[in-house]
Order: sequence, then structure tokens, then C-alpha cells
Amino acid sequence: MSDLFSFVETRYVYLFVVALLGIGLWAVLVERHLIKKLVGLTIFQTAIFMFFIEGSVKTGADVPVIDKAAGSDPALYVNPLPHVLMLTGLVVAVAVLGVALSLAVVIHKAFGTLDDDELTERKRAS
Amino acid sequence: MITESTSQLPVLLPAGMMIAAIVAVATGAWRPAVARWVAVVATAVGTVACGIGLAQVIDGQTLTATIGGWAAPIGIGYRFDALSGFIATLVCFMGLLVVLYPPKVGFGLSNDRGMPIHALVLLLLTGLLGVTMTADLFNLFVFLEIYSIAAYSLIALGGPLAALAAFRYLIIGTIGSSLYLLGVGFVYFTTGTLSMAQAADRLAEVADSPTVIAAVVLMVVGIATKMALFPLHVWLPDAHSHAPPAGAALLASVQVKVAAYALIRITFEVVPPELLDEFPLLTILTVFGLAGVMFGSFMAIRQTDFKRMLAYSTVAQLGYIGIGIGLDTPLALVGALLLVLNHAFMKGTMFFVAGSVYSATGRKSIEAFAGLGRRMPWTMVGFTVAAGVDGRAAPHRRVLFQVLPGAGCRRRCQRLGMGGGCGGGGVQPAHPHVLFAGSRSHLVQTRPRRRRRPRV
Repeated sequence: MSDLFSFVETRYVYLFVVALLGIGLWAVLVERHLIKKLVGLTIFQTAIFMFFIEGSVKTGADVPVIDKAAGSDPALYVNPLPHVLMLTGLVVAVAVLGVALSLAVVIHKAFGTLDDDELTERKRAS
Repeated sequence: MITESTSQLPVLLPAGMMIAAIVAVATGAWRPAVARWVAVVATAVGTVACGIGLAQVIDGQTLTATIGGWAAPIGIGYRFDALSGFIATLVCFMGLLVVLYPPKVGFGLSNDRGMPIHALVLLLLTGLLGVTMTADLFNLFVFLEIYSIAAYSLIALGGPLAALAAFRYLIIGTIGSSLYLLGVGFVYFTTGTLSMAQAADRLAEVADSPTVIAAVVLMVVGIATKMALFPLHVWLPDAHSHAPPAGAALLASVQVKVAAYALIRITFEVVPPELLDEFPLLTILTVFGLAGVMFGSFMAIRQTDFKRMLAYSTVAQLGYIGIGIGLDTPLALVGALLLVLNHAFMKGTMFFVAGSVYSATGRKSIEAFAGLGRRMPWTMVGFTVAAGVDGRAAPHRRVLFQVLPGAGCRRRCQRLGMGGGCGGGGVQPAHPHVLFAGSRSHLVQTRPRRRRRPRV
């Protein structure tokens, strides 16, 4: 039992990430409204960003700008790479979301609805 | 002998395309016709540059480039070897054909409307060339997304139904690339590197850990979604059949192939060979490839809409490529790459024919193609040649299956390879027939039409 507790205590962030991935995927697959699907997609991507950030957490480290007084010991500085990767990932995610929202506008203008099931029916009819 | 030499070509190709895309946006706002010429010049120069580079590396040399003065394991590496050169040349050449195709027919837009289609095409090519050149796992993700964004927009140009198809593709595609990103995260936190070569070395040391298996599965599933390997192909039929013809030609001929290329790179250069022995990744690829061939061919035969039939046939062809990767022998891989080349030209031509026929006559369904041989002889000659090329290439694919038992591959794959040979043999005749269906109905049904014509 204490094993389980210590596992949850040390790895709870990963459980949180997995839960977020599940919620996001659930929303994408099950929700009928297209905008809710996009919300799910954003949650899914955010979970992955959290995973990268959590993986690069370092206690007692500083921003990665070398301080002359402290020296250049790698243990004193945070690894900047995962953070930069996620900054790029965020930009990509925002760009994709922008395209998705503009497509949603086009779909709403053409069909008057954003309900996935109704759109499938309209598609069959045409 | 594998030698490496430094060259800026692998960086200049995607960067040049990106600059051309920006120039095309700016000039497109002023004169769309100029934007088209920018695109033609950029893709033509790209094709020539790729051709020259390919001639240089064809004997096994690798051209490498680094960015910002940091060598590969620390900085982002780009490389141009025979495999990436082959794919890049194909990408640039198909891009050139697509921008030469009249935009009015190809994208359903008049030439003087300020729609930056050529900028989108160039952006798509930027992403595709980037995926082909990069030697960095995260950089691959960024380029995947660059070409995907351009692809979503190009598909959406086809009208409201296309916008819906693009939206659904966007959802599935983004989930796919996010899974890939998650896999890259696993690799990074296990090995501390993003360079493909260095990651492969370090992964080989820890090949049996469950983290590595999870990473590999996530990356392969992500890329397979982008490649539309069965059963992750669900976005493809809608997206390719509703996209404007020139867009569909580009997507079917090179976009999914570049994802297949990324799959080849990941499976054979990043995934440690020890893991491939332990974990049946290649067997799974082969099985899904076979299933895709059967499903795609079956669905293609059932379609009445010409473009939709082409889209399902693409699913089948991607299945063949999946088998070629999964069998893991040099010859199977050569077969898969030959199919990439052959299918690019075949499917490109087919979509061009579909676009020309639709713009000239408004016909979309295969039955309505009857008698087109008289009305549009040259277009239909193109159609027949393309269908013939597909039939002609069947021997290559047979090579893929029949030479295998002698090629000394893994035993498990050998058994599957022979099973694949039988399955492929069965499906093989069906496939060219699908493509000939249109021309055959045209041959059979011209007669009544000919009789009718004098009376009208």
C-alpha cells in the first residue's frame, strides 16, 4: 500500500497528464459539437506540453544564463531545451487551432450547424 | 563507402521554398499571375537543385548541413542522401507540375482572384522538403505540422464539403502528430538527445525498456496516421475526393509519400534493431498493410465517383508501401520506393484528368465518362497511359513479394511475405482493373452514343 502511495506521490504529475490525455481524446471522439472537439484537441496537446515541462523540472536550479559568481556547473541551471521545444509546440498548436476555427466558420456559414451528426447527414444528402 | 561532406543544399531547399512562399503571398496580393510564376520558378529551381544533388549523392554519399554553426548532435542537422534526394526530387517535380496546371481548373478559382493558392502550394512543399531533409526528431514534427497546415487549407478550397473534410482531417492529423510528439518526448527523456543518429545509438543500449517500446509505438502510430496507413486512413477518402483536383494530385502523389518516407527513417534509422527483433512492429505494419490493400481495393471498386475511387485506391497503394516497409528486406524497400515513384505519377495524372474532365464537362461519376475519348482525346490518352503505368508497375510489386523468400529476411516476415505474395497475387489483378474501369466503360459505352450523335 505504501508502495502505491509513494508511486502516486512521486509520479502524480504523470497520472495527471494521462488523465488529461484521456479527457482530450474522449472529447475529440465523443463530443458532437465541432468546437467542443477543438477544446478536446487543445486539452490533449496541453497534456503533452505538461509532460515535457514536468520531465525537465529541476529543483534548486536557475534560469539557464551563466552567472559568473555561481560558475558553470550544469546542476545549477535548468535545461532550456524542453521549454524551447514546447514554445515551438505552442506556436504550432495555435496555428493549427487558427486554421481549425476558420474552417469551423466556413462550415457554419455553409451548413448553418456545427453538430457533427447533423453535418454527416447533410453530407449524405448532398 | 559512405562518406559525408558539408553542403548547404539540404537547408537551402526548404528555406528557399519558404522564402518563395512569402514572396508569392506578397506578389499574389498585387498580381496573382506573378505569384504563379514565382511558384513555377521556385519549383523548377528546386527540381534542378534536387536533381544535381541526387546525381552527387547517388553513390552513397551524404551531404550534411548544420544551422547556426552548431554541429549535429547539439544543433539541428540536415542531411541529403540518396533516399531523401529521391523523395525531394519527386516532391519538387510534382510541385512544378501542379503549379503549371491551370489554377482555374486545378483549384476551381479564377486566375485573377487574390487567393494565395500558390503560396499554400509552396508552403506545403516547404514542409515536405523539410521532413525529407531533417535529421532531428523534433524538427520533423515542426515540418509535419507546416505541411499539414498548408494541406488543410488546400483541401478546404474545394467548397463547403471540402471544408468539413479538412476539419475532420485536421482533428485526426493533429492527434497523430501530437502522439508523435509524445513519442519524441519519451525518446528525449530516455536519451537526452533529439538527433536521429545519436538517439538511435543511445536507444540501442536500452532497447528492452518499456519506455522505448512506448516511444516507438507512439511515433509510429503518429506517422502512420499522417501517412493514412490502414486503419488510420479514415480521413483520406473524404479529404482527397473533396479537395480541388490539383490539391488532391499533390496530396496523393507526394504528401502521404513523405509521411511514408518519415516512417522508413524512423523504423530503420531510429528504432534499435534489437527492439525490432523483440517487438513485432514490422509484422504489425505488414498485417495492416495487407489489410489496407484489401480494404482499399475493395472500396475502390465499389465507388461511383471518380475522385473517390482514386482516393480509396491511394489507401490500397499505401498498404503496399506499408508491406514493403514491414517486410524489412532491401528488395522490399526498393519495391516500396518504386511504388512511391510510380504511384506519384499515376495518381497525379489521374487527378489532373479528373480536374480537366470536370471543368470541361462537369462530369464526376465513372459512368458519365463514357464517350469522353471522343470529346477529350488527349486527356483520355493521359488517363490510359497513367492506368497502363500502374499495370506496368505491377511486376515491381511482384518483385517485392516473390524475391523475398530468397532474400534472407527474418523468418516471421518470410512466412508473412509468402502469405502476402498470395494475397497480393489475388488483389493485384483487381487493382489495374479498378483503374481501367473508367476506360473500359468508355470503350463499351461509346457505341450507343455514336449512334445517337448524328440524330442530335
